[in-house]
Amino acid sequence: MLKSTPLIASKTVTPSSVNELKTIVTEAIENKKTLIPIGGGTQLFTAREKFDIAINISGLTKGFRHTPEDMTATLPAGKLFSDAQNKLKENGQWIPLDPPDNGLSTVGGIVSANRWGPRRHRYGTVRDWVIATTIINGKGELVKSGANVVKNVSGYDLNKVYIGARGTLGILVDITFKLFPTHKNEMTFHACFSNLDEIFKTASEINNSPLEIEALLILNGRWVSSKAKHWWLLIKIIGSNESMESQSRIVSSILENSISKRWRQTNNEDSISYWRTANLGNKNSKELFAEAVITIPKSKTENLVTQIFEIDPNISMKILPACGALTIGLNSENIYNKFKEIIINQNINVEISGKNIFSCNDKWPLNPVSLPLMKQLKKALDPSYIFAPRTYLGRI
Amino acid sequence: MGSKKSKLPLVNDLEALLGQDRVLSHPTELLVYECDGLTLSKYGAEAVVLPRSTKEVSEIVKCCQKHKTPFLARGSGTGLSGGAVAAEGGVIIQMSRMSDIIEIDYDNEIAIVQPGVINLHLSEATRKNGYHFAPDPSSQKACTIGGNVAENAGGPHTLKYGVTTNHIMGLTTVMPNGDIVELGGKEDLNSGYDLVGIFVGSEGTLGITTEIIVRLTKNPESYKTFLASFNTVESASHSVSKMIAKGIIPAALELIDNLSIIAVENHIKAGFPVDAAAILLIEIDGLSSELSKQANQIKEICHSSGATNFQQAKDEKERIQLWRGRKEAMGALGKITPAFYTVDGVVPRSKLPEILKFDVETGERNGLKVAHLCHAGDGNIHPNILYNHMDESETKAAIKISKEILQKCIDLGGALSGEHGIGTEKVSSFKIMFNDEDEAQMLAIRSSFNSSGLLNPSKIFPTGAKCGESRIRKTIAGGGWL
Repeated sequence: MLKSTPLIASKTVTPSSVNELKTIVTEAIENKKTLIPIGGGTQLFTAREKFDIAINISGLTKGFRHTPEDMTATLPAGKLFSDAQNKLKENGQWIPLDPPDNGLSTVGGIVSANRWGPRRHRYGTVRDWVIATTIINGKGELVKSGANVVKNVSGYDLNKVYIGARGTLGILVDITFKLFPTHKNEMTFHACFSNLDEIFKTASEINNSPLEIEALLILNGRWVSSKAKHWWLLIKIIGSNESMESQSRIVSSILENSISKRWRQTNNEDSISYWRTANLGNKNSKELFAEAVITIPKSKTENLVTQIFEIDPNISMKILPACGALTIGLNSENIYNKFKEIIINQNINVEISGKNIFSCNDKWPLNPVSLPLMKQLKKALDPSYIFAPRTYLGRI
Repeated sequence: MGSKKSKLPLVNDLEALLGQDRVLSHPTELLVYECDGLTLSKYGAEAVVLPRSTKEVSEIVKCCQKHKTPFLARGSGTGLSGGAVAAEGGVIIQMSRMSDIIEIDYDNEIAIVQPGVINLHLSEATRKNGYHFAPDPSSQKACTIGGNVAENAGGPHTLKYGVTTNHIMGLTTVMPNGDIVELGGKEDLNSGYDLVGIFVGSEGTLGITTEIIVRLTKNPESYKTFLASFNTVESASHSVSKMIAKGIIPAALELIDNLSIIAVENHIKAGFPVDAAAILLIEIDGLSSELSKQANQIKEICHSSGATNFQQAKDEKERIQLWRGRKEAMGALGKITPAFYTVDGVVPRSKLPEILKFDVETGERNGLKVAHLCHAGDGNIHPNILYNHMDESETKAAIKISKEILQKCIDLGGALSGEHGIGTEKVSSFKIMFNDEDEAQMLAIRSSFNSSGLLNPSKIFPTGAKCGESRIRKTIAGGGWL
C-alpha cells in the first residue's frame, strides 16, 4: 500500500462556497501567500514545500447538474467521485472512468491528478471526457472554459491544461463531463500464466479479435497476493444479450488454446473482487517504497516488463498492454534505484509517488523537451506563483 | 501589397531562403489565398511561401519576425470561419508541399504525418491493414490533417469516435519565434501540462505544426446505414434527442432538411426522398452481433417520433451513395442559391428541436431561407443561410441571421463553433460566450507563446482585433464543406 507525502501547510481552510474560495484566493494574492488545493488527499505531493494555506475543496459540493437528455453532467470539484458516479448511474449514465478510488477521491482530485484505471483500455482518460471547467485562476477570477456541448472549438481548450496540472494553474470549482450509458451485460475472464511471453501473446490475440473489450489487464502475482508467483490476465467484455454468447465463445477458444492451465469465466462476485484488487492492489501487502506509473509506446511494453522483472521478480506490476500503461510497485530503495536507472537510460515517461519521494526530480526523473513552454504556461496563468509552487514537474 | 513593381525586401529575403519558385507574390498568384470557405470576407497577403521542411518553416518564421510582418499557416483553405487568411496582410505559409506520410506504425497504432497530408489519404493508406484516421470532415477529400489539428475538426463519425483532439498524440511545432519544439509523443499520455491539448484547436495562433503523431483507429467489423424520413424537421430532431436520452450513440447521426434534400437530389441523386421535410442519416457500427438490437431500438425511436419511412441501405453501393449525398450536400446547395453562409453553432443535444425551429423562423423573419445539414448527434446545427451575394441587403440579412442564431445557441447553453473555429468570422461574437476574464485567461497564453502577436493576428479574440465584417465586400458565390 502506498501512502502519500504528508501535507505541510500553516493552516487548512475548507471553503463551502465559490465566493468564499474566491475571497481566500484573492487575499492570498494580495498578501503573497502560497496555496495548495487538496481533494481527498489520496494523491497529494508537496515535495516537502511549505505552503501558507491548504485549501480543502471537499466543501465545494453544491451545483451537481445532470442532464440525461444531453448525456452531460456538471460536477462540483469537492464532490466524492464515487458519490457522483452513483448519482449518475441512477439515470443509466456515468463517466466511464475507473481510477483507483478508496471512496475518498474527489472529482476535482481525480481530474487534477489525471487518474485512470483498467477501463482506460476502451474509454481513454480524463481528457477524453471533460467538456467544460470553471476555475479560480491566478488573479482570483472565476474563469470558464468550454460549454455543455460535446463538440466545441470556441476559444482555447483550457480544460486540457487543467487536467493533470495538480492544482498548479488554479483551483477547479466544477467540471462538466460528457457521459456514457451504463451497460447491462459484462463478462469477466480470469486466466493464470506462468510465462510472460505467452500472456502477452494471448493478450494481443484477444485485443485483435472481434470483441467489445472494456478492460484488458495483466497483473503479476505480487500485485494481488504477497506469495503468488503466476501472472494474471483479466479480460472484461461488454455487449448486448445477443452478442455476449458469441464473444464468450471467442475468448474461451483463445484461452483454451493458450498455455494457460487455469482459466475461467468468473461469477459476478469474483469479478467484482478481481477488478477491485486489480485497481487497488493487495491490501495485505507490505507498504511500498514507491509506486511508478509509466506510459510508453505499447509495442515496447513487454520488453520493459521483462527488464523490470529481471530486477526482482517480487516487483508488483499492473499492465494495460494495449495502452502501453504500467503501474509498478517498488518494494525497496534498492529496487527503486535500479528501476530508475532503466527509466533514465531509456528516456521513459514516468511519474513516481510515495512517502519516500521528496523532490520533483524524484517524482518526474525526466523532464520533457517542452518543459520551457510548460514554465511559460505556468507563468501566464499563475503570474504570482501562488498555486502549489515548486511541486510540479521541473519544479514548476 | 502585391501590386508594387519592385519586390518588397521581405519577399527578396524569402526568395533567398526558398528560391523564387516557392515564393508567390504577384497579385494574380495571391488571389486564390484571399479567402477560405467563408467567401464573405477577403484579405490580401503580401506573399505566399511553400516550405518543404520544418527547418524551412522555422527560417520563414524568423524572417517574418525580422521584418515585423504577420504570418500564418494554411492548409487547403476548406475552413468556414475565415481562419486561414491573412487578416492583417503578411505572409501565408502554405503547407501543401509538406504532404508526406512519414511513418505508419501498426504495432503502436499510430502514424506520423506532415501537416499537408490530405485527411482521406491517410485512411486510404491504412485501409488495407484495417485502420483509418477517425476524424472525417466532409471536406476530407481536400482538407489537410494540419488544418484538422488547427481547427480541431470533426465530421459525421466523430459522434462515436471523438474529434481531432482525441486522435492527436504528438506535434512538432515551430513556435512564433522560430524555435522548433516537440509536444507529446508516441505515448498516449505524457507527464506535465497537456500542451498538445491546448495547441489542437488553437486555430494556428500558438505555433505552426510541422509534424503530427496521430492515433489510428481499427475499422469496425461491420456497419449498418439507415435513412429515416420525417414530415417535419421537429419530429426528426426529436428523434435525435430521444436517441441520445436513451443512451444510444450511433457512429453517425446526421439531419438533412428538405431544402438540402432537393439540392442533393438535383445534384447527384443520392436516393433522398424529396417529399420529406427532413431525413436522418444514421450509421451504427461494431460487432455484427451487436448491431441488430441497436438497429431495432433506433427504428422504434424514429417511428415513435413520426418517421414516415425507415430503410436500411441494402448494399455497400447504396450506402456509399447515401454518404456521397451527405458529403456533397454543400456543393449541391451552390446549385440552388447564388451564395450561402454556413453557421457553425452548437447546442446541447436536447435543444436541437428548439434551435432548428428558431433558425428557420429567423430566416423567414429576415426574408431568407435556411437549409440545414446538421451533425445532429453532436448538436452541431450548421444552418446554411441562402442569399444573393450581389444584393447588399440580402448579404446584410444573412449576417444578421447568423448572429441571431449564434446568440440563440449561447442562450441555450451552447457554443459559437462546433468544428470550424472562431477565425475572423465570429470574432465580433466572441464576447457573447465569454466574459473579459475568460478571454484574458486565453490571451495570457497567446501572449506568452506569441509575444510579438505576429502569428495569425486578428483571429479568435476581439481584444485588439479588427472586425472582420468591416472588410466584407461583394464577391463570387461560394460555400464550403461541413
